[in-house]
Amino acid sequence: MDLGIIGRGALVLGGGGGLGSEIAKSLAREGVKVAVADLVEAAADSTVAAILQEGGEATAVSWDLADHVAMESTIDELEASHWPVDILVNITGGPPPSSVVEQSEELWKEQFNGMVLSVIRLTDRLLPGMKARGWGRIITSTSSGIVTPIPNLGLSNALRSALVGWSKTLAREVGEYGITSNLVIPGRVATRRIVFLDEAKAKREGRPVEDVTKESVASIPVGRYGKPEEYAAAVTFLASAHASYITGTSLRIDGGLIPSV
Amino acid sequence: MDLGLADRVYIVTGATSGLGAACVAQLLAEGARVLISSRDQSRVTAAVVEHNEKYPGQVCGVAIDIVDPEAPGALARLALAEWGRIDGLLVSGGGPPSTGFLGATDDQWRAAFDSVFLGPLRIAREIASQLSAGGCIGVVLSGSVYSPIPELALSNGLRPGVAMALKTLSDELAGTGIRTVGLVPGRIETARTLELDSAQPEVSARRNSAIPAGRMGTPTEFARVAAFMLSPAASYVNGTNIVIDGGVKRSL
Repeated sequence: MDLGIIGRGALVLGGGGGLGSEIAKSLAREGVKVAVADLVEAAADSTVAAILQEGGEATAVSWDLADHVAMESTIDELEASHWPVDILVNITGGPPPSSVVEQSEELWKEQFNGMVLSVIRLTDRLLPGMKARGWGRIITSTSSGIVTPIPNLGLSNALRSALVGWSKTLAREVGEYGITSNLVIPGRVATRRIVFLDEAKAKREGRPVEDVTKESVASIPVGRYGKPEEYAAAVTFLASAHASYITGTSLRIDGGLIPSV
Repeated sequence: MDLGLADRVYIVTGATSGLGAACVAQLLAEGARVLISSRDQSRVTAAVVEHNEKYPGQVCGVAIDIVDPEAPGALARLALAEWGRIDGLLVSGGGPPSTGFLGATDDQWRAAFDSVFLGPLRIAREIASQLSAGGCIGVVLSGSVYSPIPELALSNGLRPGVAMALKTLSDELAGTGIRTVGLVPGRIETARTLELDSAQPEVSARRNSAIPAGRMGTPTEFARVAAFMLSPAASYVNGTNIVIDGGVKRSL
């Protein structure tokens, strides 16, 4: 299936990470030019190198989610010297495991700034161009915690949920311009973050990490963690021309993990 | 993107009109083999002849009524006899008649239960045991799964239950490698919808103006999503719904 996005420009946040790198590569295979943004420059470079090796087009962008001033000039430069952004994939790092009680105001503000406001500001910056071109895709990666809160990921559960209302509201405001806005909800996709969370849980509960992982896998109907490329395939489809009538909604890529409808 | 649909075998009900027909065309274009079915033998025959010209050997058909308890067995037997395997099922079909809640009779509820609820779920149950690993069961639902649609009380009452039963099925299929997915269309330009709209142009104009995308969807837009969801490319999407409605669903 030709996805109809050859020559489109994309910006993938967290493009050096486990999910972002696969999404960047998957988009590039469909002929999309991909700006790979990451705080860790070497990670972004590595994704870009992989894309170039496959014959795709990509460029690395140094990115600090919390630095909204730098964002403006980074986008100016990207759009001037490379390509306008038609497809934005918002991926923000997960916050530290935490309860919701007794967290400092500073921590809440810092995480809000990095996980929520960063996404809102960046999207606002890119929308005028998408509107002018009459086409756009805003895809925001969240967490199963926005449907079923994950114990001990309090900051994530609370802050990512803010993006649910934002994305839905945005869909109505930009729909007439051919721009869609959707959330993707990963379940347990096998990245370093999942390994880290399993290890953290094992340590907290004083048991072997293998036990924690086994128990975790047993709760997933498909019986395994997801592969990053499975997540990337779904994101790439939502970015495609064919997903033109999907907006203001969310897609779970969780193997059936989330227990509610 | 390679959806991996080549040579895979799908059963589609409600396959000779509307969304079902659009999904058949898309699956065939992607190289899948499709057993098409609907109630009307002449339409099935005509559709098979038409598709066979473009996709020789990829299509066969049978007339069944989704409310008939014998339907699932007939579908499975034919697909297995023809191709020796079944990789997926898409249950599509017409909605129940339009009526408000206060005006709906017991007989209307019973008939709608058979056609909207038990019929599709019986086929899902019976075909599930015949599916190859990596198979997928898709059911075309309705926006009434989330928000009641005026004058579609029967759909509003029954469709949410279908969605929940489908979720239950995905839980019970844990470990088999078989997925379920609900496909939720909004206002799509099928012949049936356009016919209903032409009878009440003011109402349909008002409804269309409430769609964030600013227009109705096309059957092809729906079908491409369905083909992706039914394919191995969507291998980690399971036990959930995908909404293809231009953003018209009002709730989060």
